Amino acid sequence: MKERIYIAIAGNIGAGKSTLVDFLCRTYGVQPFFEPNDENPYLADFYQDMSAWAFHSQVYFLTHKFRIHQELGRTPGIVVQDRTIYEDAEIFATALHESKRMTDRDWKTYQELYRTTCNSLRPPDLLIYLRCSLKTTKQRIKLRGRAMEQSIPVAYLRLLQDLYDRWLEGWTQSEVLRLDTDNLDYISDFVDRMDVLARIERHLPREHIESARAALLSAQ
Amino acid sequence: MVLPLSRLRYVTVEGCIGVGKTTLTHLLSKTLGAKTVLEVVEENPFLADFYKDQQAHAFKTQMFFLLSRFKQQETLQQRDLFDGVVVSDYLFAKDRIFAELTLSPSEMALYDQIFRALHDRMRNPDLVVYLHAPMDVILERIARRGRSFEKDIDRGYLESLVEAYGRFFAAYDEAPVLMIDTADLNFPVRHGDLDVVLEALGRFPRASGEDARRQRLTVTGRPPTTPPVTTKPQQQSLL
Repeated sequence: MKERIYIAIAGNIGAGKSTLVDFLCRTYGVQPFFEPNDENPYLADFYQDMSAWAFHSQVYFLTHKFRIHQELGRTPGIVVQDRTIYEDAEIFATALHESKRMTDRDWKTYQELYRTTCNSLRPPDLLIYLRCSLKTTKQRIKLRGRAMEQSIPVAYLRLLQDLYDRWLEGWTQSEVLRLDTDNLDYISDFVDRMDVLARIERHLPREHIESARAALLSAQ
Repeated sequence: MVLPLSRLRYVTVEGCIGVGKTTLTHLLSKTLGAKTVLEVVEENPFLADFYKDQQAHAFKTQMFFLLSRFKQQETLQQRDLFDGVVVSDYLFAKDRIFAELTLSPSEMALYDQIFRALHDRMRNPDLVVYLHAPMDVILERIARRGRSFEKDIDRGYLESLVEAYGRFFAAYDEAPVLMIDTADLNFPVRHGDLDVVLEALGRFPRASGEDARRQRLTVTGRPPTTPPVTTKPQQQSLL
């Protein structure tokens, strides 16, 4: 039996990542690995002058994410991660570069750092890619009302979406389970929930799922 | 000549700009029949801007150097260059000495996280030869080799660099350090001066493993009065 099963949940803003992470963690009785909430000390500067501070700010995010990956690598059992280091680089930093908010020179150096740090990381056993339409993304951003997200231009959301699709096309490091979340309701709909769980577990070693369930039952 | 101690497979020569690292590296590898690995300073695209506005560009400049040094070391390790004995004129960890001089505290904290992650993947040398000399000697050596880009290095910067080297090696515990005061040594001209180093390598480090990594030996050369065959070290102390 493998020592660890590492499930990564990827997806654009509003695709439903934290909801799925929460559901899986409750199902298996494990702690989630969330995006770091630490204050990025360069974020304020970045909003003042994006091209001057994009590098600092992105290196900070990448480095923090790298530490989370290392910590996750030391954790036994089922591990569920909300947003990977790959998305930091392949989606968000790339978007800054493509929208000319990060200079070529900074971008090359950033990529070199990304390549170097990524080399030593273990890829996930299963990557769950949550995808929804731009319309749904906009609706969900409005609904949850996070101030930071309201001002993101639609064109930028579309760019992120395109980058996600491009990244997944080239991804070969693990199995991918793609879930369209436009009409999926795994929180209140029992049938959806069981369906999603069954589809996920098809990709995971059975004995691991069973031992996690057994541990959870005996703890209750 | 054979290597005085077969346990030394990877020796690194370090010290401030102009102190004579590369000269000694060449002489040592020739004498020991080792491979020479010299630092290649890749053209840093941030350097021109760094000279105009240090504060704004220090972090990017430093990240470029760190990744470039890492790439070089990574390539060397993959190429099995370490099959035989290697003498190198730089230590990967030296990057941190320069970072400390230019980065802000928050940048240094970020730099350190990356540095540690990369440094963990580097092979440590079996021995570091750390060269030092008084400031006047260093300035004279820099002037003598006449590299155009070193012409404008000012004394104040060199002094803080020498200090930073001192702090770095005071805390360094990844390999034994042989400290050589090169003020009275002239390796390229008086070949016998090399014996000071070879003699020290013959008896240092004395222990191995954990203990050896914190060992220090200080050697000060004496100028020969007559054309020397061998030069005896004037003073040695185990710190």
